[in-house]
Formats: sequence, C-alpha cells, structure tokens
Amino acid sequence: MNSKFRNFLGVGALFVMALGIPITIIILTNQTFDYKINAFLNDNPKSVKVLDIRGNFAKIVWITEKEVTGIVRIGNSDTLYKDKDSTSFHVIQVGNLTPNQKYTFSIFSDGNEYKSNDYVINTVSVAEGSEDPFVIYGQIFDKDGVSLQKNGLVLLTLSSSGSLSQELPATINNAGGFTIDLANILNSTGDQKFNYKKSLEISLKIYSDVTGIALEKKFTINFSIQRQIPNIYLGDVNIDIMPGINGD
Amino acid sequence: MKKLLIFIFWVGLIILAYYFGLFDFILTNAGINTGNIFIPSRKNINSINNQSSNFSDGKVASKTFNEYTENTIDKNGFYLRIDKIDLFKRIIENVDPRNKTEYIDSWNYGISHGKFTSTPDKIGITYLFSHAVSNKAEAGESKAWFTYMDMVKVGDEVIIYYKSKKYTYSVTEVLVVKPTDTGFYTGASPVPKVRMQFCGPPTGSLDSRTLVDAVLLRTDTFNV
Repeated sequence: MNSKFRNFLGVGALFVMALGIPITIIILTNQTFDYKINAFLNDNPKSVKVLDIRGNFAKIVWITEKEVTGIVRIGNSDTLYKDKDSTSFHVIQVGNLTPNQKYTFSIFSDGNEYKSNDYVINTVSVAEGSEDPFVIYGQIFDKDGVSLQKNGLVLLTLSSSGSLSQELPATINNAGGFTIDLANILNSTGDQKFNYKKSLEISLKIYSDVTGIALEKKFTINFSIQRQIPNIYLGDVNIDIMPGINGD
Repeated sequence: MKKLLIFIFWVGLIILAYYFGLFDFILTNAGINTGNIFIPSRKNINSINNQSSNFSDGKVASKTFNEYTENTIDKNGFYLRIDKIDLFKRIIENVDPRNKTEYIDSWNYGISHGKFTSTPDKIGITYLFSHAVSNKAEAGESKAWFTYMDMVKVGDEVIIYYKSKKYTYSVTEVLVVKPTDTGFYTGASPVPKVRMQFCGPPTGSLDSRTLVDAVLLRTDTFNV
C-alpha cells in the first residue's frame, strides 16, 4: 500500500469521524434520529380540511410529507393563494368569497395539481363581524417536556354549556409558539357568533408530525382574564412551578 | 493529476452533504443555529454589546407625535405607528436602558428600542420604551412620545415598520409592574411580541411602569 493511498484513507477516516461524532452525540442526546432527504418524500396533500369558514373567507389546511410551498386555486380562477414559506404544515386563507356560496378548489403541491370531490368550501350566511382582534397564544413542548415542538399544526375548538365553536387552525412556529385570533368566531354550524369571553373548555388537536395523527389536549380557561394558554406537553409530563419548600 | 482528483472527490462529497442539508441538520440539532428565535443568551449579549445605537445621524425628531406617514418613511427604517393615539415615530435601535445619558438622548430622535431585546423579524419580545409626562400639553416639548400610551387598550392595533416589512400587532395585555421587575425586559416569548413601556400609573409617575403587550397578527411586505 503506497503512502498516497494511506493518506487518502486517513483523510477519509477523519472526514467520516468529523461527521459521525456530532451525529452520534445528537442521536444519543435526543434519543431520536429524524433526518430526512426531502427529495424522497411525498408531496400528496393529506388530512385536507376546510376550517374557519366565514361569509367571505375560509382557511384550507393540509399536511405534506415533503416541505413545499403550497398553493390553493379557487375553481378555475387565476387568483392563487400561497404559503409564505416552504413547509409540511399548510394553512392558507382564501378570500374574496361570497356568503352562502359553494366553491371548489384545487391544491398545488411541488408543481403537481391535486383535485378531489371533497375539496369544497360552503361559505356561511352570517355577515362578517367587526370585532377588534382577540389574540390568544400558547407554546407546545415535545414529549420530554423540555424541547420545543418546532413545527406542526394546532386546531382549536371552544365549548361552553353544550355549545361548540368552529375549529380554528394555526401553525406552530419553531419556538413551539402559535397564535389564534378568536374575533368573530362562529358556532360549529356557522349560523351565529360564539361567545368566547367567559370561562370555557378549549380542545386542541395537535399534529406534531406528518403522519396526520393528532394528539388532543383539553383545558378550562377564561380568556377575559388570560390570553396565554397553559403550556402544552406532548408527553405525560407533570410540571409544578411551585413544588413547595421541601420539594414535595 | 491524482491530487486534483482527490481534491475534486472531497469537494464533491462536501457539496453533496450540503445539498442534502446535513450541515443544517447538525447545526440545528446541536442548538447552534437558532433560526428566527431571539434567545437572550451570553452569545447574543456579546455580539449585540458591540453594536451601537444609531441616533446621532442628525435626524432629530419633530415635536409632533404624528411625524411620519407611510409615504415619508425610509422603507428600510424602524418606525412605530399607533393610529388610535395618532403616533407615528421613528424607533432608535439598540438603546441601552442601563445608560441614562444614552436613552434620554435617544428620545431627541424617537422612541427607544431596548438593547439585547428581539426585533420584529424574530420570535421574541421587541421592547420599546419612551418618556411619558402627566401634563399632556407639555408632551411634545418634553419629547415624551409615550404620554398618550395610557389610552391604548386591549384589542387596539399597533404597527411596526422594520426593514421593508410591515408588522401588524394586536394589544393583548396591559400590565402594571414595579420599576425593579427587570424580568419583563429580559424575558422570552414563544410568539413575536412587542412590549411598550412607559412610566405610570399615574402617567409620568416614576413609582411604577406600565407595559403594553401586543402579539403579531400578520406580516406584509412593505414598499414605499
């Protein structure tokens, strides 16, 4: 074996170690290995839902394995509604709709157009409200209770005295945070406003990965007192910020 | 020739690793690349400490509260607009709240942005502070740009222009805290938020501080 070939092998071994050691540390630290090559992933829209349907707008929500910039087209119109960034969790608001109308739509994902008989928006007849924004927000932590859930979808429903609200969607940012504007929210049938300024139960469906399987969490909250939803943990984590002097 | 081939081989391997996002993956998972999250940390403090506030550029603020319009601002600048109180002023970035001479001087040019706090393009708390006086007739003369901030209520709209983007916020909370409660200055937030601080209540009093928090609703590209 000549010296040049030995050098070649030596440099190669160093290169493999340089990449391998940090990757091994990450795997051991996180106890997961979630590395994906985007080119091999599917761009099919999954779990497609039409939510937050009002008289003049609605939000189209879906998940793709591959991170893409999603686009929605209403009927055959030239107006396209796009994601701001490339993502697996898509929430796109489509506007300029007319109350009490039926619209079909298609989804463009990575250049491919997807259509379905289920891709329909039925706008409601209730006139758009004029309430000031009423923003609530929260933060989601991963199963270990410490790491931030860095992406995903949250679908929020409010309930009070047997009355149920519409489902409102929000994306989770890379700090685990999400915001939802409750202004003018309607009841589940979309025929009247839902009163959210009182003590009520909130239900959150959290899509933390691209499998389309949601985890549900419930809280009782009064938004007229607090705007931040209690921290949400995807695992069974019990955290008490006041454990007592003796730690019990 | 062989050396050249070996060189090309390794360069190719590195390019492939880069193409498949291996370096980003390592940096992100190792916690080195925090992306668009503002995390108050020693690393940030050291880098921000070397940045100075930029207000000695001769653009002294006028005594009016509604000094600008969307058509007169520098599209790459930093401005606060609250229509409810007719406020549209320039924001001076990176003003050190520990340095009284510096922050009082900054009010000659506009509203102060707290050094070591987030900016609107990041997830975190963008901290703004300014002077407020009890006698509203003297507010302009005193450069007390937050004098009318006591009229801002939950649900009101706040707009910030920053580096060609227009950030629209909604006020979510108004808190009264003690002047020594510095945790509100150094705190983190899971969502992009602006926190505006003025003296009071009563407005102008040095005994307490009022914090007006607003959460980001939407971001639009802004071109004059």
